[in-house]
Amino acid sequence: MGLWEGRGKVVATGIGTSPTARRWDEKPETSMGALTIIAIRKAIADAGISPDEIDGMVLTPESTTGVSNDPNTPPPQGWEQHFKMASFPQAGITRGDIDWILLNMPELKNVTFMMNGPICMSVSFVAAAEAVARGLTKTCLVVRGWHNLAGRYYVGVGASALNTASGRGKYGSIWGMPACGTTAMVFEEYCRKYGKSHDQMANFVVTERQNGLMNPDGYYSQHRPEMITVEDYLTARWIAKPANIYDNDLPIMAALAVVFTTPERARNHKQKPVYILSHGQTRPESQGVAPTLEQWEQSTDRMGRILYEGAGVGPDDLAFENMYDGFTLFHQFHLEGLRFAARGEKRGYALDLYETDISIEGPNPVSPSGGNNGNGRTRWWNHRDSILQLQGRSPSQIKKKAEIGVSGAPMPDACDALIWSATVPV
Amino acid sequence: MSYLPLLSNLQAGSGIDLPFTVPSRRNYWTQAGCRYRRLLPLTAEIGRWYWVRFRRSTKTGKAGSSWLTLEAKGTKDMPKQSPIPNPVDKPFYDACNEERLVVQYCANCLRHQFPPRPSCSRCGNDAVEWRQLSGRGRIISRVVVHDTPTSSLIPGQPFNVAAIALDEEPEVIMLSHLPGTPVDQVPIGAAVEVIFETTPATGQKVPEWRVIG
Repeated sequence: MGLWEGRGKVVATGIGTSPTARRWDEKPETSMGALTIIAIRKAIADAGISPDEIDGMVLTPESTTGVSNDPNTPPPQGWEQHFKMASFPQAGITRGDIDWILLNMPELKNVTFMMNGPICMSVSFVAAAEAVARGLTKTCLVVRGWHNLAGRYYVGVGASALNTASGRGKYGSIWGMPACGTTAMVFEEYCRKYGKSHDQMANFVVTERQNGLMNPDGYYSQHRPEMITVEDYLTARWIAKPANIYDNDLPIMAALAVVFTTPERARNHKQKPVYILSHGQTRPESQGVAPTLEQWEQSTDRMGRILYEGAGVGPDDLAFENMYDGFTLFHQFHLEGLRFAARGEKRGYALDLYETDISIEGPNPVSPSGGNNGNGRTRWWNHRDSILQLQGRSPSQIKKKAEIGVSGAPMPDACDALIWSATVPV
Repeated sequence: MSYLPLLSNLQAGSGIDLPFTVPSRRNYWTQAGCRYRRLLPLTAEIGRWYWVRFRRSTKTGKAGSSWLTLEAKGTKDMPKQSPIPNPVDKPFYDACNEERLVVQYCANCLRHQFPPRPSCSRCGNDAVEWRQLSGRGRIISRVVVHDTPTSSLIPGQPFNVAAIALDEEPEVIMLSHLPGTPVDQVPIGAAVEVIFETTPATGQKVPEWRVIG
């Protein structure tokens, strides 16, 4: 396999983050689409470039992991007075849509490369990296918005409220597992195999909230600026034991846009370029209705090998790790697959590491972004922070020198991840 | 310290306040396995299965002792949603109705897979065949669900969901409520056998598992 062919040929520069909200209040100006437009304009301004320079866009269209309107549900009254309508009725409301964005952002008049990165913004980051590296676009926006409608998040509504079950969900949903259930099951296997306990997660979860509260763009810092304690975590109500409420992330409204370009063009950008050294992808090979511990360990091991070989670096080169955390109980699989801060261990060491100093002040910053748990569910705080860390402007900037870092999401066996660098190592 | 004998007088569906002395608060907290949150929940068998919760009462006795309230909840009723078969998984659900467990098998990869798919999830072979299995397996993990999204199961919370690895191929995992197993007392590693449960909406049967031996 060797080094990634695009190594050092793609950089990230400008970043734009929208305001956050817990749920949509059904006003056009606070819709997911409106937040996306805000994020894009901020990213372009942050890069210090003209919208004319944008010639590509990669977008993740799914904008939640919970309740969405029926695709054919008409938009709320008055919507068309605020936004031009795309062919998809829910565009800008419960689904991201490049056509809708371009209709409503006339300043983006030179976008010729358009691509969807499904499910997770990690996919869009990887797709955009490949597109820039292959010369398909020179300056590309990577975009994702999230919506969260009023009401409880898929509990007792929609398909969950029926007395029948259809689609692929029926193989598991009839047993009533919440979304965190599968992760909790594998975590339970992990603890049994390595002699660990759920209590050992406490410092990780508390540290994440601490890091998230430093981020002025995060949901908690904007709307619930309260710290949680170890005791809060240890006494929290169970969702699917051993997953408690703090092991689950909070669905929110938010949008992010990032500018990718070539190192040559980045010389004219306002922000320091952050290089992409490699990317990797894993997809599940589960034979059953739920994964096993072995499958998640094999998959994250594979991710580690792909990333390091493609980047030409190793675990000791990482200044921080910003892998996905929403659910907290699978973060350690990502971390151990990368052998982050391992001292010769391969597996079963992460929960012990969590009990050491994993703060931004310490030698092994774990999830310095605060992740979903410190900022609300987006699956992109970690990527955003990796870029900011290496630009030296993260609100939770690590104390040690940030030269190389990693971020990826979402699941241990279905992940897209990237190694970022402040320079291109020889 | 076991409270289980105290529960033997409870009747189905009843709730009862029992006064009894507990150790001093200090000792109560520090006894191995007796951290307060670890006592919640506690489940015991009294002919049928009950959810029993201990909580600190506001009725405080003299210093060094306190009252605990026992609350018994009715028998678990776990009415599952009825799965609606489609052309791909109809053989699986038809077999369930005949109380046989079948899963797909790929002769190229020499492996089973579940849930059913139009083709092998590894090699894409669309000639996957159906094979009947022994209906035996082992419990490899579990969760206790306290906050289910599924409306019909909300009244039965909390409940077990176990991961069952099939004897023929342990990578093939199925789920189970483990009927007959107390909440939060799932015997990891125990052998299980398949049973078939009728779902109320359509009468479609689905596989369930019970601990044997």
